[in-house]
Amino acid sequence: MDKPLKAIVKGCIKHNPQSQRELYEMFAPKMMALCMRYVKSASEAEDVLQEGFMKVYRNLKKYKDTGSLEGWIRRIMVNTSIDHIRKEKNHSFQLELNEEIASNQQEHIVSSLEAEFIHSLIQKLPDGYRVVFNLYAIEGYSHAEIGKKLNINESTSRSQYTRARALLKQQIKEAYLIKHPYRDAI
Amino acid sequence: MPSNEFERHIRQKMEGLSYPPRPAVWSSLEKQLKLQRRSKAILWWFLTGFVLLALSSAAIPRMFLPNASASAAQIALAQAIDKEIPVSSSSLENASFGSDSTQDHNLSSSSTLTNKTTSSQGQATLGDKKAASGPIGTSPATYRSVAARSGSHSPQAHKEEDQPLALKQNKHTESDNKIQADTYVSRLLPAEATFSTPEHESSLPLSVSAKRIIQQNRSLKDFSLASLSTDLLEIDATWKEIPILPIHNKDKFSRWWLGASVRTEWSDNRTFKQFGNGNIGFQDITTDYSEIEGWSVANPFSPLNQPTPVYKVSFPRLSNSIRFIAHYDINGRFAFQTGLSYQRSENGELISGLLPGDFRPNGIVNVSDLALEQESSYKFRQERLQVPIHIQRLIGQGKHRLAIGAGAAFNFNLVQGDENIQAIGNGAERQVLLAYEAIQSQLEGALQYQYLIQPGTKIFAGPNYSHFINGAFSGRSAPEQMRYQLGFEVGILWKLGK
Repeated sequence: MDKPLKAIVKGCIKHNPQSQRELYEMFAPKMMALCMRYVKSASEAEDVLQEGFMKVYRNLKKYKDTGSLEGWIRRIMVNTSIDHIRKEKNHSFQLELNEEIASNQQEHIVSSLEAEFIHSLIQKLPDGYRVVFNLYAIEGYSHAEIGKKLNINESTSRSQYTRARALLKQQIKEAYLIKHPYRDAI
Repeated sequence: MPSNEFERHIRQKMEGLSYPPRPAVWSSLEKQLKLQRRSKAILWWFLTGFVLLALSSAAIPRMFLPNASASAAQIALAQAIDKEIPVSSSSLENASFGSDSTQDHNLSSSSTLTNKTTSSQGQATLGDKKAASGPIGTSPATYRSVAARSGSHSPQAHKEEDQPLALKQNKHTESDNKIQADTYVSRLLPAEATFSTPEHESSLPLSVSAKRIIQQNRSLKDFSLASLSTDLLEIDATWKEIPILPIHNKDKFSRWWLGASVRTEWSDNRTFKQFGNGNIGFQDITTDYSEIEGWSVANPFSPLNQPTPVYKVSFPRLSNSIRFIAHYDINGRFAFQTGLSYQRSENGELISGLLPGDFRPNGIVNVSDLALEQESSYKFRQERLQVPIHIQRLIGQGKHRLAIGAGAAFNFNLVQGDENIQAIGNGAERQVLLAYEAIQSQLEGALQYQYLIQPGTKIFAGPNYSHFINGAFSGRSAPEQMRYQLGFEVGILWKLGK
């Protein structure tokens, strides 16, 4: 951790508003993107972001200087997002494939396979797929860890991931073909 | 762990991605953080105050009566005076006020020495209890050092100038009734506690008070120094000059007036906070004040659901209140006014709109599913009970007078709202809002022309200005508080008594 960040963390622990703001400005955009991958809408993502940052400020004194601060905040945001989805759905994750999901993807006009576009495709995955995909492919959790976190079987996590991956690939492929109609499929 | 190209590619893309949240998110977060800090600060404030009070209760008598001892006779005398029962001369003779007594000072007995006067001979007499305590409102905790004033009886009496302020000897003699000076200290704390949070600094000496009271031609001068400073309140010093009046003299009551007035107030516009967060929305408020506020159309397909520009047309608000007034002429130059006013404002239906996506009126109802159509209505009513406290400087005599007043008012607000949210596909939801705003403070200044139309009846008229201290103890943020209010008040006062 470089010195300014250390100073910011120290300030946040002392409830210094300036430091709290600096920490927020430093990480909010990335964490917003993360939250948006987990929840359905931007406004929900903002709620999660806000709740997550409150947890960050409350627990910052527990943060050990050993790992990356960004990683620590990410974990808080991931957990807050999962809690939020659980609360909203009041249950278990929707594990069936929603066939309708893919039907209107072609309505999107994309200029290229930019990060934002892939992000929007991930966002449109069904809840269960989306969460498992995010946790496994992006956050790097193992299926065993995901199973524990979401209270599902490891094998369920594995199969959810396989389906999510296939669906996402399919959507990317379709988008790519829309953009480059004369090329072969990837 | 994922290891193939597809996952690596996705991860790389996602790691570099960032979406700046709307500025409103930080504002909301900041509010939550402030609230958290304030709650902590208030808790500390009370804890510190409690500890200091507890310590001071034990420490003060020891500080100011270091050598004084109360003999059994003294205590009996003090208690007897307190109860206003006859005291036998033998017990008076036996009363020893000397500092050479070795008996331990009794803390509770020092408190009972309040309100006593002694003669110049050191012989305790029942003094004018009221003169010492009644009109100036001495608190029960206040005490005067009887032992110190009776120092002539003590072989080791301190010289007057060597004594602490509280122990200075009373110069009063029975033949000098016109001038009676006494100084005493109430609740003088030796220390000041200061605590601070990054945005909040408060000092807490609680009530430090030093009083110099001079009775001269039936008037008391009372200088109090008190310091109580928080982010909500700061009191530094007060100066009072209060006439002493015989308790059964009806003149006392003739200084009181009761009256009523009508105020018409013109305030800055009021807006509704956090009311509406949709992409398309419109609200129209046209009741006792006029205001149009809305959101222009933005791109409803924006992936970020960005907030849209706000446009607003607002007009000043006019409202009326009725105030019942108690007016007291302190000494012809100053007057004290207080009262009670009631005001009620209400507006009708407020919102209708077509709102795709999320709509969070007031942050209370969250219809987060993809509703294609929503209707909302909101009725809002605020009832305000106000207690104003004014000190007026009176200028002029006879029939015409000008009063320049300043003071504060404390408002007790009840906010009621009624929301009815309907969303196609989501059924209907209804919420009723009810909230108290315990205290909303305001500072006031007023100019009044008073005219005595006949003995005992005066009318007054004049402008007033109120500056609101927003957010003080306010538990909710539905209606944004007013910042200021200009008013004009007309009223009449009837004299009580003869």
